[in-house]
Amino acid sequence: MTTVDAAVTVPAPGRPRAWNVWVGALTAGLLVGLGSFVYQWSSGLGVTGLSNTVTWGLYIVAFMFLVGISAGGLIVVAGAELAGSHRFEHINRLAVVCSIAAVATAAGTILPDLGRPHLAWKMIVSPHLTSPLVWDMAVLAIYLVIGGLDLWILTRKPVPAKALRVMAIVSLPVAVLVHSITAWIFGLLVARPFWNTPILAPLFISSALVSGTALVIATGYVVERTTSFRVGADVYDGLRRLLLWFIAADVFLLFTEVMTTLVSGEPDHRSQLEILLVGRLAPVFWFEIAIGVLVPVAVLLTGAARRSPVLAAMSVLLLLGVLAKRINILFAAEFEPLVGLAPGTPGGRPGQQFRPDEIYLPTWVEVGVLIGMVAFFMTIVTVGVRRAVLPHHD
Amino acid sequence: MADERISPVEALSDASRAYGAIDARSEQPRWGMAVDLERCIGCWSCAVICKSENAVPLGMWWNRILTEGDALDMPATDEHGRPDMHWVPLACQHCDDAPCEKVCPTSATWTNDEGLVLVNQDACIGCRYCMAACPYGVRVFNWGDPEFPVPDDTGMVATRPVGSVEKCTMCVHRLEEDQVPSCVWSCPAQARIFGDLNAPDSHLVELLEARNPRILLEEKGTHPKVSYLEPRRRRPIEEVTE
Amino acid sequence: MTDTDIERDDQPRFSRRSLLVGGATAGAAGATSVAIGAATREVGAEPVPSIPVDRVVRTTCSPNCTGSCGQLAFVRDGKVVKIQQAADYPDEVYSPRGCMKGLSYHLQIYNKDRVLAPLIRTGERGSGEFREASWEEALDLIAEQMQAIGEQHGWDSIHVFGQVPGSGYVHKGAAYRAAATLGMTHGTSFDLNGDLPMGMPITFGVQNAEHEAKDWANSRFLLVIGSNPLETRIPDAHFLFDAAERGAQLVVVDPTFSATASKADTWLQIRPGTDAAFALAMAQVIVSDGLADLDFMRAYTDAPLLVRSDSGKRLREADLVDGVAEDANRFLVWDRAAGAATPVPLDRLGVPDGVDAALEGSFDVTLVDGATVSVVPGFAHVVAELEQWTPESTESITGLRPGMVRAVARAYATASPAAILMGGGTNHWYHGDLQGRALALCATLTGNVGRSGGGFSVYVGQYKVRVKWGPWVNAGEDKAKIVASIYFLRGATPDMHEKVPFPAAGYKGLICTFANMFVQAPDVNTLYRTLDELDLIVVVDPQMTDTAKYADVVLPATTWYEKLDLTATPVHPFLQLQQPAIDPVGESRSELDMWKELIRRIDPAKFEQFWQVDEVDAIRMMLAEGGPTEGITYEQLQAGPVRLNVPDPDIPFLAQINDFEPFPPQSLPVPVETTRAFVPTGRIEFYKDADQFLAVGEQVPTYKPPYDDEANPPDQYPLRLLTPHSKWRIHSSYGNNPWMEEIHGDKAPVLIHPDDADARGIADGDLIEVANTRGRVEAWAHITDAAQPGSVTLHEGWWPKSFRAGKGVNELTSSAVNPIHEVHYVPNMWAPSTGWKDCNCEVRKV
Repeated sequence: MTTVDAAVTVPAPGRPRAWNVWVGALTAGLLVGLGSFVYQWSSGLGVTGLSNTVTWGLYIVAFMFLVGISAGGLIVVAGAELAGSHRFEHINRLAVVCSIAAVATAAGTILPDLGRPHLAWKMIVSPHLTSPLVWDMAVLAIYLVIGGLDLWILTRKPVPAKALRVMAIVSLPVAVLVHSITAWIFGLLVARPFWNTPILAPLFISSALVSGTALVIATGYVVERTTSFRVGADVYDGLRRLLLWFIAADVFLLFTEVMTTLVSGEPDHRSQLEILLVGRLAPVFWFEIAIGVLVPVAVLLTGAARRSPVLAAMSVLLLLGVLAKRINILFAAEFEPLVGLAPGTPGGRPGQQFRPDEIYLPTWVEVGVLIGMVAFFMTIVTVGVRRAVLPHHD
Repeated sequence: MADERISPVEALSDASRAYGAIDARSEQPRWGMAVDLERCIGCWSCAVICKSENAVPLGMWWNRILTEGDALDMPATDEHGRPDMHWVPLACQHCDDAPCEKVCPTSATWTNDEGLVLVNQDACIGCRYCMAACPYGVRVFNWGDPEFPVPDDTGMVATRPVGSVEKCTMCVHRLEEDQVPSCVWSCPAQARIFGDLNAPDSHLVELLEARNPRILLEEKGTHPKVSYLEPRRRRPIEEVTE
Repeated sequence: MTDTDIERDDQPRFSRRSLLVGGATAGAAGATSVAIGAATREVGAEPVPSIPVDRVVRTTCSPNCTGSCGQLAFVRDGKVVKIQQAADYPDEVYSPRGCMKGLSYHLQIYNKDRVLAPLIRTGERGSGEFREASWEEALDLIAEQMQAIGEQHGWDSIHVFGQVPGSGYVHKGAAYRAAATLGMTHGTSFDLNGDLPMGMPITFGVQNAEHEAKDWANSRFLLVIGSNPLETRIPDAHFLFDAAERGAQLVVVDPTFSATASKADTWLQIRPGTDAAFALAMAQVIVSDGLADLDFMRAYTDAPLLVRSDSGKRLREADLVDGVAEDANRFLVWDRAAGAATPVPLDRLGVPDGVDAALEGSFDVTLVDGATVSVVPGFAHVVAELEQWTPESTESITGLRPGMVRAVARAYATASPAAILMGGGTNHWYHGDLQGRALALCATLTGNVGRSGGGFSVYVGQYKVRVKWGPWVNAGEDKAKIVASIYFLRGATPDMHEKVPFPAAGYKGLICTFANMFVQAPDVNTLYRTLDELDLIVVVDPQMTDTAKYADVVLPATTWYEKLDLTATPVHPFLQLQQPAIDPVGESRSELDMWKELIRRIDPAKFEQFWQVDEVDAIRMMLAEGGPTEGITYEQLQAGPVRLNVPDPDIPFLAQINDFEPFPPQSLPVPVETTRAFVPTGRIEFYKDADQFLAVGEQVPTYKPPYDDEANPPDQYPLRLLTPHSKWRIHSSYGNNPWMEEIHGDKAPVLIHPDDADARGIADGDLIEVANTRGRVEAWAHITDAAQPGSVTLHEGWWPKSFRAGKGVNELTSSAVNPIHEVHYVPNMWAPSTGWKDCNCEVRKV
């Protein structure tokens, strides 16, 4: 990856040994990912844990999660700009870098999920306009362009205020669309009652706000500890307050969904929800609630959260909570197909029987590809920080 | 022996070809099917012949027979404590408003002039969005190199590439030659009735009018062209008390 | 016991969530679907073409299922790539015929278990260690060893076993011809399979006689007992629906909730092995309610014939007057008009005009020696017996509510015509003959014999030889000696009939064809003791079965898509060819080729004399005999199925009922003289006066509890082990079919009721042991309400690989021989019929 090489040419500040380890790790991660992907491509998706029932797995979880965490950058920058606040100006380049990394990686995760990645271009040359997937790809591309422009503008000296404002006006609705259309990929399907709810898009936005903000905090903290970059207590506290509001919105929407479904939801929707509350996904769901919501909220409301390590740690928990939520949303609908009568769904591979009960565990191939994605994300962040954040940091 | 190859339909005897002929066809056919749930005996003949006809590899099925009961071929106990069991053959419902078609990002899934929902394998990128979108779970994916029961050669149509999605085509290749789909031909209980929904004199249309069919997952608004005829009403013998 | 009869009075509910939902919500739902519009873009709009084939061959699928379904083999590059029903029957109600197994037979042709070359054993028997050999070497070896056995112990100590000749007259007949040529004994299958319904020869004097399947549709009332046509006669099952659509009622009597029960109007959950008690209670109701057709009983049955009270024997004319020749020794009825015993003709059914034959009462006659004995009509014995078996008195036996039995009996007796369809579930008992006799009584009491839409039909086993095949299966004047295979399996019995040509030196060799005998025979642990005595075991099979694995030499047989043969079946009276679609796979050869090669080596002279024939010659030899095949030519058969010269619909006993010809009609292939002794009165017999019947108290139909209670007492082995046929296999055939395995899995389930499972701490899916004094297997519990408390179901035919331990379910089944089955000996017609289901067991968690 040329971006890595480019990053390496920038002199490393301070700890060259740690830097070398970091670059080595990223390189190794990218190679693992690439190798896994090539292996999967040549063998077919049979090497994954996916099946005709659980057709989407780890890659789509990663996709949903990455789209979500991209929210931080644009919302912090554009939202603050439109609100006339200069409070987060200090970290807006960092936030935009995070967004770009997340969106680029999200778009990238679609590729290994395809059975025939070499035909992905067909989606561009002959798109079917009723497909939310097409729209999502388009809006992700737009979002990526906006992010790039934003970063370009933010690295001008001086920053052209008017251009920044125009960008903010353009990017905020695009950001909302990114999350909404991603939600609609799932939410428009009559086949999946758990997804097929109007609240899915708002829920995606609220959890995107949570995870996006948490990502900015966590990344800021790491950069702060490893470079001369400083986030500053004021910014941290502002972000903490934002987080609380976002979490409140997210929890409210989740509660609305659970409440409505449990009290008066239609049976198929309810039975899929029950997988979360008491079924196969209950551990993940209650992890989401306990570790991803209750603990962070409790801590964020206390003075302890004014200490940046604590705030960063809570952000990591929030990220994990949102990840759990993505897992839950995806699999609750897949584990219980609408037509679930015996003998079930064809296994799909030679020697396999019908499968009445579906479970899904990713294989090492999928984990390998995921490692590559993480490395890809980290690489973009690293390059972005070194090329766009640090040089412009006062 | 194999100098001249012949279409599998042309090769049939007159008696066999007459058996499989489509009974009525309008100027613009709209193909549909009814499945008689009373007559279905859960034998899977339709599912098995589908595999031969369409070169469906091991592990994959376009057509399957669900047991409405407790497990495969096992009854559930109803609220009166009585066992109850029915079979529901399930394959692509060829919806008029097909969710799979809408979500396909490359138009690989499309509807032909005769109302059949088909997959163009050249355009399928393998995103499996259609599988997520199908309420009936009738689509299967080519997860890897296919294996066939007859080495090197199988079926009456070409196989599909690794990484693409496939499903029931209503044996569109047979319709071209005026023959009913293979599952209809092979149902030993004659539980499947195929025909042109636009042909008022087809047996299918007569049956649908006479027997008030049910639609699978009707509330999903998919408007399938496959209907299910209700089991007959039982006439139990009354216990005598004396 | 729970209430055991279940009526179904409402439409089924689609119970698991909302699979099928009515239209109530449809309008609203339409609005929620994506409203972006369905842009139809015709990408790839060109039609998908069919791939052409080299040829399509019309042939017949013919495992041991009685289906004989016409099939088309679609051949490309020398391989069968699709098998589909021919659907070309002249009688179109029979099209398409065929089931998922026949349609997946190409998976058998190209199965990984296919034996591709002759194999000679190198390890211990059963080790599965073989080396490949040439046919020459294998045949030389077999011929040499056969000769050694023949010379040392006699040729009759070689047993040739083969299943169901009706499913392939040429190649299966070749084994009889070979046995006749060399003097080997040939085994039997219909009786060994327990399918011989001994109630039929005892009552009607025939091997079996059933209505052709399409006649079910003519019935107004179908009593299906111990039979599960929906799973075991898939090609014919639709005739039940045809009948129902015309208004017939369907009553299913089965201990378990079978597939057929799921379609019934009324399901009676009877306790296993108590069908005779149920049938007797039905008969009791029919008689006591005055619903019996007594004129029919007088005319066609032994009901009016007088029985001596002193001896229990029938009164004969020679008892009363001197000088009556044996062949003119008539039976007598009591003429109430004349107040005297009067003879009835032997050559004609009915009662002479003016004779008012009594069916009840006791009368005195003076014998030729001057003594006076009292006589009663046979029917009086029947009625006296029935008095013990009321719906009330049988409730504790059958578990059926008396009110239901009474209602079913009345509905049956008043529907016209009404059919009884009996299956293996009723026949496969030690006392299966009594169960059949009791049901035959119901059918006869109601005059349903010889009537379209009526009848008492036993559908189990493909037994029927529908052609006169003598010229093919005999070697000139020499006929094969036939020993019922149960005697091969377990040795001679104390009451074995003197006509059984059991070899003096016992058995030393076995040539097993068309059979997975060592898994599928009853009581296989006893069989294995016999096998240990053998010097030579040859198994001829296309598949490496567990039987083949135990052989000394395995010869690769062709499947029926690789050879020419002639078939017919009991249930649809068409003669059909099996025509080769492809060349033999691997080194496989047909059975006829194998026998020719063996005989050429062993007896070149006889080879010259009898074996310079091919399949076509054999078929022409059989067709030429006429009778059912009169006027049918080989060329006609090449084009498609040809209906045999039988009535349409094919119904038994028409000549007896319509023309008053005496019973029995001929049971091919034996001459009618042979079977006439079964019913000496020439009538339908419900009173049997042979000594053996008198000795065991079975003169008239009665009920006896399951016999295995003696060998496996219920206090130790409280569960009845039911081993019905599976729809996924024909016996063990298709047990290795990849498609079937994808559907039903590869672990044999033992169906057990929740109550029985709870009592033993067994959870669903647990590995359990099923055991009795004869053997044990380990398989997996499947807890289901479909099972009856007190019984467990383990389908027969699972290969041993589908068990955790054991040689298969037949480790547990019984090979007990009922002496009544040894009163006469006509192989496959009056011979020991296996009581598979007379089998108690206990289960426990492993």
